[in-house]
Amino acid sequence: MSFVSSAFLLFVAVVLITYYLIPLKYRYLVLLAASYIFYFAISGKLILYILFTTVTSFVFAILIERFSNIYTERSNSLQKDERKKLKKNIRNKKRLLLAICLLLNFGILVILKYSNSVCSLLLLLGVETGGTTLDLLLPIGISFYTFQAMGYLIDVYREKYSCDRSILKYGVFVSFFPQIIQGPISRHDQLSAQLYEGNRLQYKNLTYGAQLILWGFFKKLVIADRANVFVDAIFNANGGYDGFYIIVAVTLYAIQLYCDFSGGIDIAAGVAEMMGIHLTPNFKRPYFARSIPDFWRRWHITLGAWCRDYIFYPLSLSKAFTKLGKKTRRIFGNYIGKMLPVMIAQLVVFLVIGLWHGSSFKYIAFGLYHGTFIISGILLAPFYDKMKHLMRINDENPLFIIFQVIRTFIIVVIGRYFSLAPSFLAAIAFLKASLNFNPVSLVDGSMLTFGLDAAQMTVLILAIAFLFCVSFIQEQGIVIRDMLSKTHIFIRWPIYLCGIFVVLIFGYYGFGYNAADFIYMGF
Amino acid sequence: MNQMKLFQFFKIISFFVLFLLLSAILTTVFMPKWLDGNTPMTKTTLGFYQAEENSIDVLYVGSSQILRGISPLTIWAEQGIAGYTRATTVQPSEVPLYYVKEALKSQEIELVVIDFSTLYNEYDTDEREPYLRYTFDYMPLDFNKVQTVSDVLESSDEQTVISYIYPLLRYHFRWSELNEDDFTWIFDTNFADPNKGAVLLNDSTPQEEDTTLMEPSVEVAEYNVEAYEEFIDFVEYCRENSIDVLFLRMPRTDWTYAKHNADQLLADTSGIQYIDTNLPTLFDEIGLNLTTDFYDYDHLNTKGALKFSSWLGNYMKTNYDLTYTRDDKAYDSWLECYDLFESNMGL
Repeated sequence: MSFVSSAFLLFVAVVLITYYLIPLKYRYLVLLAASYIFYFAISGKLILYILFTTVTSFVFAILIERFSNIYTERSNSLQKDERKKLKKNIRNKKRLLLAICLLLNFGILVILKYSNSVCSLLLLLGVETGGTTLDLLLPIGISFYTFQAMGYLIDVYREKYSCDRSILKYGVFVSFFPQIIQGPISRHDQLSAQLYEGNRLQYKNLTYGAQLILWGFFKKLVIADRANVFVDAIFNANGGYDGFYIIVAVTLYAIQLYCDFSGGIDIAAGVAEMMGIHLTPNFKRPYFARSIPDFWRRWHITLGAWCRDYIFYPLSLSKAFTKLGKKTRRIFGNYIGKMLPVMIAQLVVFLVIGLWHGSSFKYIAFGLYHGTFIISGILLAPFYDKMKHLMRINDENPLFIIFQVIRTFIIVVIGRYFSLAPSFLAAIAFLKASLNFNPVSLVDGSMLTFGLDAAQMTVLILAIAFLFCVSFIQEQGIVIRDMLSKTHIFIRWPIYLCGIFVVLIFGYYGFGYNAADFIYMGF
Repeated sequence: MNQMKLFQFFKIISFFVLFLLLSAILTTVFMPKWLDGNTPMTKTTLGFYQAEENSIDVLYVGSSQILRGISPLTIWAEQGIAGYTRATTVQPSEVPLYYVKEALKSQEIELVVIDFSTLYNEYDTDEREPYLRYTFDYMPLDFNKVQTVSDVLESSDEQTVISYIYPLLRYHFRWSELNEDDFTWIFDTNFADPNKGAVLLNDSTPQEEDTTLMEPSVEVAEYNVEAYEEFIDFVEYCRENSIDVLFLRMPRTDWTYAKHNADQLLADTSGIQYIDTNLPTLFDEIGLNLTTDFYDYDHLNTKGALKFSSWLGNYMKTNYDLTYTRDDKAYDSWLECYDLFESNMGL
């Protein structure tokens, strides 16, 4: 049951009606039932994996909190030494519980996601594996719900909030159907209350949610799936093309990936909003980013935030890293010494982000590629500041901003070679082939021979231009849905109807069209 | 507050109504118009619904063999039996029953003549998608249609029932090929089909006879189980509605005696009349000529269809008590159609 199917829309309609017909305090049960029906429909018996994650993280969170409570209850009546001893003892037990649960769940994720690559690597190294690969089926959305559940567990360990006492309610948090396929990776303190308490029917939620769904459909069906035709034709040609063909294909892929992923998120957020649930934003117009760090604050925001809170900070603030910082300050000076632990932590984060996408070396290269830009940005920051000062460049100069945006976009597009190509070596080969320019190919009509004729290409270009305009307006801080809601009904409704029919007519879907799955569904 | 909510509810409903209205218009614009050539299925379908109430007594249903091989006008002109062809290429086994149910909404059908071609074949729903479109697209939307489409699409991996309910989902890709006719067609109201649903083919391809195929034997061909069950349901429905069924095998050069035996067995089990026109004696009686009367190996051409229709009309006249309408004033328009048909055929 794909998000962009009539079956899903019908499912959402039934869930919405049921949700608002049930008394407020039982509405979370509708979400639970809907989420499990939806997950079973797309994953079948692999639903056991999400059940395992739900039960283990629920139980371990309770156990961890129980130890925290023991300390709170007993510490007041103890002497300082005894209190310290108890604290250490409790902390060790909590750590052990946390480690077991993390190992179990990340272990499953690693085994399911990386076993084939590990087996292949072992085979390459001459180690007998008893078979080429394990060929284990990967449950849909496992990376998303595992990260979400483990984030909750770590927060409970850190005593950021209390753990859930109802497994039915917690089950909704882990499996909430709009976000189970491709996120966003929500935080318990931001989402759970909205899920558990039930929300009243509000006209604004219904209409705003529906508009967001429509916008998601536009990005997915009109842009992403149409661009996919061209991208596929070039990159499935086994290196048959070079120069601008590859450059256009990779650029389109960058746009496709954004529209595909953010379109899916818009649909998820729209469905949730119709039930009065506001998901954490996952994108903030990433191709308007002025630098790579800025890009990662705008792209897949919830994964970045997860890595920041659960990997970057714990690493960079750890005793080992603090010591390292002190030592390196003596060798490299204050700035680099201070930044070195941060840079190492950043590199680890981007390695994890790379691996999160898959076990292939191309994903590691993708992560390291971005990590390298982030680190070089940190290292060269003083130099850049000096240069800007010398050249009298104002950070807010529009031309400078445009330069930064285009530069960042180019860097990101080059990074897309790694995620698009079938392997790291293929990505390098495509990069090399891109340098073999032949400007004639841009105007001789040959670009229209890859599945998109002149009419289809025109629609694609116009749709991208429209997306750019909307993003530009949003970038100015204007909330388009608010703006539209204030216009007269005779203006507003034609715009909505026009939007619906643009998607229905110009969407790349239906019999005879090979509608692509959501790309991030595979992660 | 309640009034406000009611007003908002009303707004949502109004928006949906507006959406449906625009959808209906756009669907009409975007749907292909099959009006000419060898598959004018828009005309044959809409023409059936424009026929006068209770003006059709015989329904010819089935696949392309019926579509190409029977001329209802010839039968009417010669025997006064008013019939209409409701056949489509490779008609799925669920469709004859659906068409009969639909016909009974406006007609009092006395006899159904059927060539049930899918009785021995596996039906690849997705490969046959264009033919399914010919079968369903211009049929009125009702529960009967939705039910039949969902039955037919049970084996489909790529098609959705919703695309038959809301064909814009199927034909939206036509945005780049729309022409003036697609827009002006909305205002057309006359879809009467002068050929009464038949689509005859003029070309001729000489066929070679393989006499071994129809040599008598005791072998019985294997049925497609689903099609068999559909046929039983079809016969049962006709019986309940006092409609006679003539189970007919149209002339074709690849027919086998094993299939003839299986057909006969099915007809005997169902208690209906069966005629296999591929039996050498009947083939000769009809007067068909393999060199001049076939379009291809399993379809008659116009010449063959006229010969066949004359024979079939005579058979029906002799064996069934059907209403005679040749001299009925209400059928003057049929006479005009026949005159046009005659001049087109050069008869």
